Amino acid sequence: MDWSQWQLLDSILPTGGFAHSFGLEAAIQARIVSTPDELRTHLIHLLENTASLLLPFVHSATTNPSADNLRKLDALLDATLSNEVSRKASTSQGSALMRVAASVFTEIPSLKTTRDACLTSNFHFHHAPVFGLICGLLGMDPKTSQRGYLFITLRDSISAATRLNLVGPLGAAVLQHQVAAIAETILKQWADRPVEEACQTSPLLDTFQGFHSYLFSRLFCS
Amino acid sequence: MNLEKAVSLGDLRIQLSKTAIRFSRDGNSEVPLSIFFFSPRYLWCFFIRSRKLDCNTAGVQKNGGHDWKWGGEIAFWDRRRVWNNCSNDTITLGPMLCGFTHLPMVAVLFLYAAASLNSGDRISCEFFVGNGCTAVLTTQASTKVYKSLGSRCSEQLLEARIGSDALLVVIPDPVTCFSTARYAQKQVFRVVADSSSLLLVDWITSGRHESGERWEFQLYKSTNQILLADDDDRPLFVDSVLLEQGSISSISDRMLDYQVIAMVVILGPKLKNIQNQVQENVKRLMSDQLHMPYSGVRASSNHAKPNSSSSFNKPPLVASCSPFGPKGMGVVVRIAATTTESVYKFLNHQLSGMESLIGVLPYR
Repeated sequence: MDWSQWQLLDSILPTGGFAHSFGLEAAIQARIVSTPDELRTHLIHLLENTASLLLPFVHSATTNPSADNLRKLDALLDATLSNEVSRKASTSQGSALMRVAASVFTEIPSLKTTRDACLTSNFHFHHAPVFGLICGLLGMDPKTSQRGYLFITLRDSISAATRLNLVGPLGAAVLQHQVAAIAETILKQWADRPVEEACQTSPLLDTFQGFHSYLFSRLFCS
Repeated sequence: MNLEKAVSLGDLRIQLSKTAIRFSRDGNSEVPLSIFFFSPRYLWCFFIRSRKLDCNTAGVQKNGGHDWKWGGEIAFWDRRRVWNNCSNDTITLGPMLCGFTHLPMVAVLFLYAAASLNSGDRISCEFFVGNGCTAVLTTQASTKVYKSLGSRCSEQLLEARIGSDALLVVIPDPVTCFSTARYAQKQVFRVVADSSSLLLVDWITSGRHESGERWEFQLYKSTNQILLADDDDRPLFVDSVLLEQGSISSISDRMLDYQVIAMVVILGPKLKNIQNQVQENVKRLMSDQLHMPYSGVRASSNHAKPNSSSSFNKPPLVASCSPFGPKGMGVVVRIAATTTESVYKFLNHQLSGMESLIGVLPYR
């Protein structure tokens, strides 16, 4: 199982996560993040917001990986991600992840059947529930899958920061390690909550994400 | 949507759908609400005012200081009727009386409760906006939430049903939570897809920020839900903001230097023009503020003075606008600003198109 779990969390898995900056590009162009310190602060707020808003969806999909639950979570998350930029980022990453997982982890037939069933209905393939589902089917416990979700959020946003020239590759690695300790505290606080309690703790992030589409020239999709 | 039919009263015919407002309140202070209820079908002006009855003169026993009875007064253009409804703190507005003139009708309902919420107060209201009707909910002043005693929380619950071809406009002043206050509100709107219209403004300031009290309250939670009533209450828009002082980062850290955050939801056919206009305006406003850093951010930060605060570079007002729902049924605008006045101006400007719909210019 470990090999599959590590492959799922490896950035080399072609899910298109590299195309998203999690509001960082917009924040830089609005001069809200311009120094490595401000980047660190931004990352911590991003992780906290991701934890409070999306971990409940990951948790629910991992503990109940049925197609019915997935559909319910997907519909609720679609109404919750009122920001069009985040919504599109979530669906594009989620559908890519589902497609890749169905092709790669062929020893789990329910991945392909669930994907096929969802393709026919009004399903958006939001990232967090799909990630939770795959983790659950790969045998990860809910704590690990939620930690995994925070990990890939940190991984992708740090990667975006290097490509936006905010920090160098070595500096990014150092930062990632420093923030990881804080991420674990965030996980402890926000893990295992029901989706009815999903909320945003950093509403500013939603505002910054939203004006990504106003950027005249941009590197990232979101 | 099956709203109750109106009832005849005397020689005046009532054609308005019944508006039921149910109050239930724990605690011993009051909360203000001014409601302008406006229907295009009715042509008289009338007023309904309610005020707290003095329990001694009404011969009602005070029950540990917590049971207040309410009274009301209906005033017409030529007569006045005092109306007391004292059962269980419930006010049911019965059929509205009206006549015919050539003037557009405005019903102004003032519900007086105090201007402040004390800890442990809980207020809930329910509104039904009948088919084809328009209602405007606003406040007399910002809702102030005082410090909480122990861990008790002040709560407000608003539930509204908006009928077909109806419009509900919710344009309050911002909530201001003072140091150590705890406040939670939940607003649930049930709408008919592609038929009901809703304008919702929900906003909060950081406290008495001129006196240096910035984001010092303990907890603020605001949940807004828009559900499709004709689709088994399927969620169309769900937003929940939780600002709680935490060990990882304080609220003040998360808000950077901004002192006010606001959210505006514009939904429905009656507000389509305003939706489109606001999207254009916000895009134009923000495009001016965003620019590519010239030589890469790392290079510029190396040359920056060590103690120069980049907060001076941050835009004083940021906003973003996003459609949601099938076929972009609605639009949500999120704003963050360093001053309350700038948000009042922004809202006043963006919502100026409302004047023709409701007869008042919001946030003047």
